[in-house]
Amino acid sequence: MIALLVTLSHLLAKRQLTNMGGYGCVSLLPKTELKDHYIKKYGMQDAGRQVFLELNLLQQMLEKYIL
Amino acid sequence: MSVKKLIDKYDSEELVNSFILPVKLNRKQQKEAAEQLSAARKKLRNQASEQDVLTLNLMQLKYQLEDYVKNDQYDPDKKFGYFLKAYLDIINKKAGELAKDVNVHKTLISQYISNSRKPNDTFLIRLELHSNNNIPAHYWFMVIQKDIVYRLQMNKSLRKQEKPNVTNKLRVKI
Repeated sequence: MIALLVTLSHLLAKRQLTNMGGYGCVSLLPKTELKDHYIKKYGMQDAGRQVFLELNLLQQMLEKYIL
Repeated sequence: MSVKKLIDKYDSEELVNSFILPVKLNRKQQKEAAEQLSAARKKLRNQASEQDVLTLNLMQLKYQLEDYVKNDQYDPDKKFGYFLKAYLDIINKKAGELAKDVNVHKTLISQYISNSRKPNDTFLIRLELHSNNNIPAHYWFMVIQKDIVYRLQMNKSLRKQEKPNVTNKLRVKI
């Protein structure tokens, strides 16, 4: 089963890239308890309260999790 | 089940895979979170190479081509020339420079951009090779085809003109 987060993030990432190209970004506001998991598992970047993906990290997410 | 109970019951992997857990922030926290994100993005962006940005912009064009050809709606502004111009903007080259790269006359590129001339298969293949196979020739072809299909569908005058040339037409309708 594809994880809910991966499915949503993939769709958002593709939409962001289609509309924004190099300026595309996907961010989310996680529960504090889950922040590390997002960073370790999905390579998301730490932005304080939020975590995010952009640039080559966004591209990697699209290539790694092909739906 | 409350969020706290969910967190106690499941591990991070299970939670992330199965639930969307909402986080509520007040106005001040929202502002702070937005500022933090903006600063983090700026920092990451400063570290990005030109190659990174070029790759993403090429992916953007590829997805836009995909979206457009899959979409049923026809957009008169989005012809081959529109996407070719976008390609030139992304690779930061002028029409003359691309013409040199793919060994065609400069005026040909201008005619393609203005949609006054349709490119042949040879040009589409050269474009595919020029993009390092990132944008396949058939993507460009399907954009051209979409325009041809639309004009064929909408050509009432040709239908009227050709009517006298058809006899014994079928009587069934599907």
